[in-house]
Amino acid sequence: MSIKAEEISALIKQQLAGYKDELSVDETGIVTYVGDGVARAHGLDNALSGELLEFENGIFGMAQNLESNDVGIVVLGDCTGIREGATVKRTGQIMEVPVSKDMIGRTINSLGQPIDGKGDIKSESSRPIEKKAPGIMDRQSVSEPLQTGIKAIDSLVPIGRGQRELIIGDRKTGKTSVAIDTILNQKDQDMICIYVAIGQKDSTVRSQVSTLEKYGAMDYTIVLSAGPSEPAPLLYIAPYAGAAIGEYFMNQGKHVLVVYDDLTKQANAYRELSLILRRPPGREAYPGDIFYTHSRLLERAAKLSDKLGGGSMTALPIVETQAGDVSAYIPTNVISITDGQIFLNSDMFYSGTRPAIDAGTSVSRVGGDAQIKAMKKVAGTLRLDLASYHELQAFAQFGSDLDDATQAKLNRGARTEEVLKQPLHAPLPVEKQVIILYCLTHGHLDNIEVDDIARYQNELFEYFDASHRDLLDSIVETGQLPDTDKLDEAVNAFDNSFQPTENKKEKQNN
Amino acid sequence: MLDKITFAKRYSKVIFELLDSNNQVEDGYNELLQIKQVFENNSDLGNSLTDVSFPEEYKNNLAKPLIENVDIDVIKNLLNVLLSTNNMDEITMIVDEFEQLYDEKNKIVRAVAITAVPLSDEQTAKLSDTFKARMNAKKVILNNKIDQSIIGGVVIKSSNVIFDGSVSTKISSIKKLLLN
Repeated sequence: MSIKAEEISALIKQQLAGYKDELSVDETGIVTYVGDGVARAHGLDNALSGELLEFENGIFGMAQNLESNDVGIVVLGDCTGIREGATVKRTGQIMEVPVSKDMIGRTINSLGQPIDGKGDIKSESSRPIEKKAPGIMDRQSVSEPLQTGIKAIDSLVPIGRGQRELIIGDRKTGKTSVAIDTILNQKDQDMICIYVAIGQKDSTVRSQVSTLEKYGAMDYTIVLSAGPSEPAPLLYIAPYAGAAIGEYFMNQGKHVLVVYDDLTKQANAYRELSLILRRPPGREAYPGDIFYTHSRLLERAAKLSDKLGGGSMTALPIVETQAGDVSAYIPTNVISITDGQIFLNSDMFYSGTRPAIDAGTSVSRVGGDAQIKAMKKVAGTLRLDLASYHELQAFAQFGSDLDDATQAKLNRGARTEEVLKQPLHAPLPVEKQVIILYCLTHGHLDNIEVDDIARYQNELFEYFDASHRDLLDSIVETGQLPDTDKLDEAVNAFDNSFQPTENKKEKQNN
Repeated sequence: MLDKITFAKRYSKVIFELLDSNNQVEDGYNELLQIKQVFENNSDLGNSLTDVSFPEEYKNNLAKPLIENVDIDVIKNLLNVLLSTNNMDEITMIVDEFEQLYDEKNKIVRAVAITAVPLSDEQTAKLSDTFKARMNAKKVILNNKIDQSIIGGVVIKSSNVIFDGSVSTKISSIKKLLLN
């Protein structure tokens, strides 16, 4: 194939049509200090807070502190090329990220540039990273469920589309796994997921991406990663960039799920910046506006009114605690901002209850309205059952004789705990969750050995898939529990065919 | 401690206001420029007059001819204050700030014109006239500098603003346009 010279020149002419020969007038300043991801500059008298500034070598910065003589600038990139005496230009723009449909399936950094080596992303437009959250009239209350596929969450702490639900717990308690499983369960749910990794090890992000790829979740997921080797400003802006991309899709009437993993590290990056910018430190050395940093971010999660297309952005922020201390500064802040929290308990995690969701301290303030009717019916008493089980369990340890009612409660409690366990990366559709919880609350599991429950559950699902598909479908379609006679009949039939594992009777008294 | 710029701004403002009220701005300005010249010609002078390890009387003796030569009381006092508070090395910065206040008042604009080839007198006059009109100034002091790397055109740098009409900038903006 050959291209004629005239064609090339015609193309170039076309592109150059937009060129205007005009004098460029720039306001400038002189760098007086540079280091630790921060620069100070004299001049720039008219710079605005948050304005994007350009250094001589093409690196951008964001004006943060406007003082009487100088401007504190956070450098968005490598600051080794910037020297004292270099000039800084005002650009007159505020910080923006490119947004595009093509970002789905890609891994990008805080500036929206691809870092997965799969080539350029063509941007459709760009959005400011700091944007005011939708106001009162732009919203409506949360009404549609966001199924996480995790039994303990969907039954006890249901999440609605547009909600902000905090995932909190010590290190290594499965916080990220809960979020990743939730993303995996959004397959075919018409959801766009954005996983924002802030200060996560690059190797960890790599393995999360492979997990998402393996389960086909990258088809609807954007991974935004600001690794620990990036300068602190990029970690600080990462969640805002994620939110900006999410808003782009939300405003098109789509449903978006954003995971911020994790806000503790973002707070640390912001603390670092603020201290270097010489802002006064407050509690735990965090700057005074650390609450606002998180509240304005999470406020951007919303369920838009029908007039604005009815899109939604659900936020799942993650916060790490030290030794279960939820009364530290950042955890209390974020708990008070969000619409509820999922508390992951390290003792439960190590005793084998996984996901280690602590039903007593986890709540969802708005998700109840979004739960489907069928789930509400079967899970209504679950929280109380669990609470009274834990209470009785403490007494029963003294080993005295127990009356039948107490014994029954203990049995039920042990089975409830067992049912709520779930292996990694195996989210369950809501109709199956309803079926197994129905069996639990209606006493079908009371005669099954605790060790057999996982097998019972799997075989029950197979049985329903094979013989009672209609019942499952009716839950999905109507959201209501199917005719209880039919359901009882089906479960009873399965109970009769279920073979308990042999030689377990003797072990029971252990 | 105050940072140097704030310090210099504060002192120059006071001096300017005092001179202004005595109607001595012109004389004071020339006097200050001379003092600055002295400090610039003797680069160690400022440092030695501020050095705490240098005995007080030597410092006084060293500064004496300088101070006595000054005719204006306000500036004399300024030098005495700076000497006694060990801030003598700030004088050049104070004069710089003073110059800015003076320029602002008299609508003088100082600028550096960067070109690829030296400007002729005629060109300089034309450029400064145009620039004067643009900046709404009474007088433009234009300094010509040669920089081959801008290829052609002219770049004018004035305090905090750059007027860039160079060929190299135009080429790079065309490059950006073509690559997008």
